[in-house]
Amino acid sequence: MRPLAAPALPLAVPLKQRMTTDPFDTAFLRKLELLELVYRRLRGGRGAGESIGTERGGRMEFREHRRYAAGDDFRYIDWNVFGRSDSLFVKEYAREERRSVTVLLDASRSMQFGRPSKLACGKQLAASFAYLALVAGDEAVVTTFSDDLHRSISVAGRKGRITEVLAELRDVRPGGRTSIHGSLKTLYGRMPRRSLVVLISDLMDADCKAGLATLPARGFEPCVIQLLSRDEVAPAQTGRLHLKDCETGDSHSLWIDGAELQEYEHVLNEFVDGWKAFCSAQGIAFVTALSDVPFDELMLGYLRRGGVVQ
Amino acid sequence: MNFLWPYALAALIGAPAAVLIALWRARRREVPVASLLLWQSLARKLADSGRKRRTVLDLPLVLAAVSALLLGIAAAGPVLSGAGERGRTVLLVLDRSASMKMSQNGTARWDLARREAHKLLDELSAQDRVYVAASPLADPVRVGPLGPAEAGKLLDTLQPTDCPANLADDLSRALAAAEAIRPFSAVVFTDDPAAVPPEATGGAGVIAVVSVGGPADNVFFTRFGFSATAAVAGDDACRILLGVKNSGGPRDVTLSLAADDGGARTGAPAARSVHLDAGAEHTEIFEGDFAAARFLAAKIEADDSLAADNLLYAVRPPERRVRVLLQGNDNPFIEAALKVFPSVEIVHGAASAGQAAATAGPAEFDIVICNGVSPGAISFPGPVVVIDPPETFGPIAVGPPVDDPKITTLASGSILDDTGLADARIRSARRITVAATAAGARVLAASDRGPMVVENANVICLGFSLDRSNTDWMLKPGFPVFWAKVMERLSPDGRRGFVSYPTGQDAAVPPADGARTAVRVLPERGEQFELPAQEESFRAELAGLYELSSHGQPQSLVAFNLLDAGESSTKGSTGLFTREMIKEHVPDVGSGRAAGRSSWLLMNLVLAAGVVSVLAHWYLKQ
Repeated sequence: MRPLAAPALPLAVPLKQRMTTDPFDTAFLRKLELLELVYRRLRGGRGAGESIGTERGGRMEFREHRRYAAGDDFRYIDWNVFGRSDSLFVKEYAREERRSVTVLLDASRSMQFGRPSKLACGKQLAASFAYLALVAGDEAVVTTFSDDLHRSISVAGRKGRITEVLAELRDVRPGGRTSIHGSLKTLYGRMPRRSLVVLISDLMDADCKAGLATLPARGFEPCVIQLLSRDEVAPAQTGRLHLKDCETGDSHSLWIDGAELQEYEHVLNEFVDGWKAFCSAQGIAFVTALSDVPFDELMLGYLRRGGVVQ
Repeated sequence: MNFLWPYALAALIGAPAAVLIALWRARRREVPVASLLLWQSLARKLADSGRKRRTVLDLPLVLAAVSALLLGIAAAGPVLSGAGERGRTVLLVLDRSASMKMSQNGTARWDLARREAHKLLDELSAQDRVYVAASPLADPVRVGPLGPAEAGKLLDTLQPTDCPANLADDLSRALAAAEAIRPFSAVVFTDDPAAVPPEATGGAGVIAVVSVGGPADNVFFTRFGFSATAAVAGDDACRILLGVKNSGGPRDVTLSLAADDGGARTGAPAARSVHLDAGAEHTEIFEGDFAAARFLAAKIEADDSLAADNLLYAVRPPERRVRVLLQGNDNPFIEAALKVFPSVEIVHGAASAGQAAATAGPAEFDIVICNGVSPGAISFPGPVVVIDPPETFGPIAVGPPVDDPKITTLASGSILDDTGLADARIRSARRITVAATAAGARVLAASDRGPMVVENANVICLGFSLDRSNTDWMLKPGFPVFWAKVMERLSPDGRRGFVSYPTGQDAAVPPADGARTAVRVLPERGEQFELPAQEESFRAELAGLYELSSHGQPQSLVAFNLLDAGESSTKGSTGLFTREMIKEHVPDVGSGRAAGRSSWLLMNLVLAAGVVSVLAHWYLKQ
């Protein structure tokens, strides 16, 4: 394994900011490099432009020989091989195409919860996906949304362009209500066809499943990463609580104690299991994670399981 | 139930603290959340499950409060009352009688006893409990339980009295009270070990007697007597008898007697030197006119071992108000004769004949006079004077009137002596006879016509009217003497005597009309205190003269004297406290360990209950 070197990526972020709340600090960048190494090893040393596509078009490159079968195009018979072996083989070509990875990051007000916040964790994940896409020579599109699309950046080419993504993400602030379905409807026309779509959200939106269900049918490869904060998984507050929704302003009073917390755990499990079942049925990769889990652990887990990044 | 460490009961504040914390938690708090999506699902589930609304005081809270209570009590070290505490239980009984004030070689027996008691306390451990009783006892029989250090401080505050010893009775009372704290060991510090009853030592507690003192070298009063003085007979001379005894070696002493007015007609107080051999007794009589004296003071000037029995006081009792009921006809001569005495109050009764004067009870009147009427059935203890009764009553028969009776016989030594009746002229009189079988019946005056004045028990019957038209006796100088002698029957011992109380006995307190009675010690010793309102008596532990006053005005004097030959001559002994005594009489078995086991068990039970309660609370909170 190649030893870790000093960060090769430019550090345009002021030091003070990096030391405090900057999700893209030096440690983050080091972890990105480690992620790249793992990614390359898992891909068997293939580099940029080596993504495999199934669409014809673009630059054709020889892939392999196979025996002729009835119906094959005569133009692809390798006559040199026939002269030497007296057998018919056809040449197979693959089209080298540039793929696109679209990261949809939920930046609604609910993402500000958690320590670190779900939004901070989501930013790191989004940057990671974008970086690995650049490493693979693909195009990376990062879009933030809440009740509508906020901002979007598209980069391709050398991996150093990740700094543009980081700069863009750094300025993202939480706001608005979660509306995944509405945001996807807006995005359908803008996303490159057959691209990998990574949705990072807490999924606290009751009406978003319909929008997600249409993605595979439209040729996208969707992946859903659900981020939850530690407080949402195991609430620490007990007693007579007046719960106030940060997005809608609605409130609800509840007495929370041991028994109620147990019931809440069941409700949460049902909520997560419901999403797992939905995604499994729709052929959507689904992962749920806590916002305080380091992003690199999350990404390495995906990569080693042959997950969303191929 | 008692507590070994009562300060730990402060931990009981944890119980209300738990309730307060619960109330604090129960207050409504606004908590922002990312989304109500999950919470609303939870609320629907809870509603579907029909779970009732939670109350503030739920079972975990109750358990938390109970836990705090039980652990607090356990920390305070509960011990079974009556069974004692961990360690030994010692009952200290200290003799506070006057003899304990005697000093030998400059050290008072009391100080010696207290020093020995401190030595005993020093041998005890902090876990031992001490009860302190003193004899003569004040109202509380015992004080305790105390730690040895506290008991030592209490000892330092106790002082001996001028009272005679009552060790046997007080020890019995203390031991009876100590039955509740069995098992215990009792140690008595006294200068008179013989006063400890042998049967007490075989009683409930093991008793050790520590005796202190030495030979008594003391001169003391044994008697303080007064002769009766006629009230109005003109004999104002009074004889004072002083008895003294010497329990020490031969010595010369000076006896003196003084009155607060200096002795009136007799001049300066008398002082006489007397030589007393070893063990000798002596009586000295002083004579003088002390009619105006409020109190007398007798003193022995001698260098002896006890000062409290060298000074005696006696005070004149307060004038008593005499209520006289005058039944029948008014008579200004009788009233004038009675009013010679300022303390007399005359009440006029019914004038009609036949109404019984005896209806007046002894609580209301002191003397009943029936003038011209016959009393009914007489059940009156005081003097009853019946004048010219119209009809027979009781055993006294009234005959027909006779004219110009000449008194021929007067009983000598009777109430008619020096009354001038023999020289009086009487126009008409009835013949009065009394049955010879009646108790105390006798004829006081008889005329040539028959008996005229008879006496039967407390009844004096005059057979003639005291009207001016009937007799001139009322004009004679002896007429008031007759009434003075009637008055004198109220106090046969003489109204002009002096009284005193032995120390430790109750003295009567005159009524103060609801006010509190202030007590001041004379001569001024800087001691002054107040008795509770309506208090009818008070008791002084120290000999001396006490002035009682109410509404800021002096009312009367009360004298308390130590006049107890036994107390003044108690020799004492030198059986001092030894360390072996505590091993022998205050063993570290039985009392401490038996009580300790039961108390330890109780403490652990409470602790275990507290722990179980905590565990139950923890389990319910999970």
